[in-house]
Amino acid sequence: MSFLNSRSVAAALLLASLFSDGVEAQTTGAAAGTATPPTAATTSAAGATAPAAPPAAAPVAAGTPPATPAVAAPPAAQTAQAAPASAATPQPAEVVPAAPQSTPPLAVPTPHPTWTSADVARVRAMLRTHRAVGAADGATQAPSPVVHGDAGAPFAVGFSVDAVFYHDKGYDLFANDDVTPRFGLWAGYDVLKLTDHLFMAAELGWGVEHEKQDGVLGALHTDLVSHTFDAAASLRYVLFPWLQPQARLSAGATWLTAELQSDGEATNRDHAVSPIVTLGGGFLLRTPPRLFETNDGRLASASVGVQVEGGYALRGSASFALGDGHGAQIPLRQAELGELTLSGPYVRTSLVTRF
Amino acid sequence: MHNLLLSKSRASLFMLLLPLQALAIGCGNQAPGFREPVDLLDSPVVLKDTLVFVDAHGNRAFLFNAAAEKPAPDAKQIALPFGPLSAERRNNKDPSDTTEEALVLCEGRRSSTTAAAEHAALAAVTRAGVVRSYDLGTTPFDTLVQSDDGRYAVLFRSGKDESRLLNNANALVVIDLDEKPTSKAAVTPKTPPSFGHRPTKAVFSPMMTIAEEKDRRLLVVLSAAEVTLIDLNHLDHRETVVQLGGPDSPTVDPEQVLFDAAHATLYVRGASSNDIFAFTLEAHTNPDGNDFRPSINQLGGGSMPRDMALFNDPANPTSPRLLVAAQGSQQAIVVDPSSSKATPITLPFFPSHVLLFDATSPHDKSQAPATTRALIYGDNVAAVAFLDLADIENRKGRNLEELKAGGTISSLIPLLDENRVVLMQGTGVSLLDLAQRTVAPVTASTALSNALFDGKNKRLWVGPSDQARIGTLDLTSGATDEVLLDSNITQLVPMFDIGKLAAIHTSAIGYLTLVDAKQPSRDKAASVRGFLIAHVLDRGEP
Repeated sequence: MSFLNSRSVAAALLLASLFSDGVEAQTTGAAAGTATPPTAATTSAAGATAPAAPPAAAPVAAGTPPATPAVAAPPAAQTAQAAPASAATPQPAEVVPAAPQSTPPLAVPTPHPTWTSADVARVRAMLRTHRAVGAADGATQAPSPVVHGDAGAPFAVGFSVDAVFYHDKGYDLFANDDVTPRFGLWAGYDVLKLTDHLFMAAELGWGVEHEKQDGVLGALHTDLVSHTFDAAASLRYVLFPWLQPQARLSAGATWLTAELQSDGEATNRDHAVSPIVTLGGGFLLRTPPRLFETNDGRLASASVGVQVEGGYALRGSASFALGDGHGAQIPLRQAELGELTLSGPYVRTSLVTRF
Repeated sequence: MHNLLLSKSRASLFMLLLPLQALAIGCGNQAPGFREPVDLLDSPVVLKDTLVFVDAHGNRAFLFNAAAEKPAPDAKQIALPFGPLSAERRNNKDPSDTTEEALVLCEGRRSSTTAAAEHAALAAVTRAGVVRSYDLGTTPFDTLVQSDDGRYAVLFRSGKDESRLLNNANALVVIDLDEKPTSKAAVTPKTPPSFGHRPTKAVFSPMMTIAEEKDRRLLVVLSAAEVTLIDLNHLDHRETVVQLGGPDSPTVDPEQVLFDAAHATLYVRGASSNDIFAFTLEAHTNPDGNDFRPSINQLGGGSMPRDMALFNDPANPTSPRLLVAAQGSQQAIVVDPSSSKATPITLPFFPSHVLLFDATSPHDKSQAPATTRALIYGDNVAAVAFLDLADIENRKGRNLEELKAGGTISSLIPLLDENRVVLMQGTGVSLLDLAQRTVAPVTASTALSNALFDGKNKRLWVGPSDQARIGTLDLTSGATDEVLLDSNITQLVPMFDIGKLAAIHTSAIGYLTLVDAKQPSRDKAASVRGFLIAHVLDRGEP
């Protein structure tokens, strides 16, 4: 088998592929011709409208240009474009230059034993282009350019880091500065398209803050954990596909747990619930449409970005005490620690993926 | 290329935003007080129904009111001058006087690159939290002594003083606490000349008649080889300094002073001398303003006199006698100061202390009146001796009776109104009846270091640290009982004026249990916890 070098194998593959293309075209055309007479237009499975198919072509012998395919199928992504349009199409259409209207006929190169697989791929691409041009020429009644819009991305999922400012001096019991990071997750969905560029989304989110201090007053260990659950509505304006200012209003509640412990003593724990309303504004920086689109059209709608938001959180005060007596049998009164004012400005940065 | 540029610019913007957020996260600083430890002085000061906890590190005091049946876990905070060092209740001899104050000695601080200097001060804190602060100047005094009636306080530095560039070891300040801090008569600094020795102790005399002037009081300052007399009625007069040491014994180390007010005489005993120094204050016109001078007489006190007491012998009413516990010679010595005659009585142990009491004796005839007697005991000795002082110089050893105490005595709590004495004996206490001369031993399961006597309820309280039980001894019936608390005890603080006993527990945030002194039980106890940090969030500072 030593005479079967790589180039000869490549040539064989090219021939086989050319034949297979012809067979596919022949088969497709035969099916179209024998089953149902072609109509003016055929609706694809995805619902996209495609030009009517020309008559079936005769089988193509090897070494000759293959027949034009029965249907000039648009790319899969183009097919998917129309799908969410009826519900919410968050991204504006982007016009992509159409393929050349006329292309000189290509002379199909004769397979050569010295061709590489790259050569084979290049030739196959040329042939496909040629077929597409032929199909376009054949359908002169539908010359409109192919439009590649944003694939639509109504869903958003984000990981957020909030810098929450606390002005209350009492917060120093739990933290050595006035800003606490809150790490959170949120998910949103575009529920309403108000204009071509303005969308309203609904969001649900959760965030957690944790501050811990050792050596407070020399011997105390303090701990403050808060879980914030909120629902939000946001308005997003698509200024550019990659820059989208937005405003956001949220409401929810924070479940706070404060712990205080001194060496050799039982841990004192108390809980509080604080309602929260936030109003903020910011923008979304995201990747261009279709950046992650694959050849077969998948991930066309996916994008990632950074969302930055600043605003003010109006929160109810949280009161803490040392809690109950931890099983003390002698009546025990424990001190009230007081109220913690939690309202303050915040800056939120989110890593967002939309799809 | 266009897409590449776009993506680069967006990445740059994102990178710009990250520092902004990082900057935001770093802003705001914690109040420095939150990092400072709460360093309470050893024992709170009791002002009737209020406990005053002094935070030496935070220059503040916490006033906890325990009057309510179930007190609120809260404490009023008040600011104090810098450097609280010690605190004690101001003496008050008049029970009708409702003035209750805590005296807090604050040593101040030197200036530094970050803070200005602050003078030493004596702060008088009332139950309501009002503070009067007497400026003591730059000397960081460390010792406070007050007169029995609480009018005068003297401050001096008894410890080694290297806290300032220049230190005058003899500097002291006399404060008239009845004067307002702004009054010129309130603070009188004194720097009596000495011979190189710093003050070690100060004693206030009772009212005496000196140089035919009645109701005069002296402040007696002791140092290693000197006794300094300061006339409190004439603070502008010069001090009288008496050097006790001689070429053979340069230091006397005076440590005890007794006053014979009727004869304007004071007796000084030194730890390094076998002599008792009698100072008789005689009228004398001095050019520096003083109208008296001491006449000094050295009395033989046996070998190593360790304690002494003045008593009046009915047989010799004109001259009081000194009873000296001479440890070195194992004797009790009766000294007649007027004649310097000493009568030694050999004891069965080495004596360290003398306690006078008025009681009958089981050997007395019936209906005999109570007379002055002496209880003599020694450190770490398992016996005591009763000495009947009537006609002691004639009867000598026949007036002596030894009683085995059942264990070595570490300290003694006199309950003279009860004619009883509590002997602290390591792992137990003994109740000594001075009239019956009997000992009732009460053993304990743990070492006892101190005990509290509740005169109202005739009860003795013990609460050894690091365990959770309070022991009680009913002095009327001899019954013992105990109360279990919820946490280990650090110390017991008597609040018997309001019928309570406060048990302080180990805690960084303030934890105590108030026990009913009349009916001590768990049911009638109440605990509070966290009063040192109450409303810390509202205050915004610790």
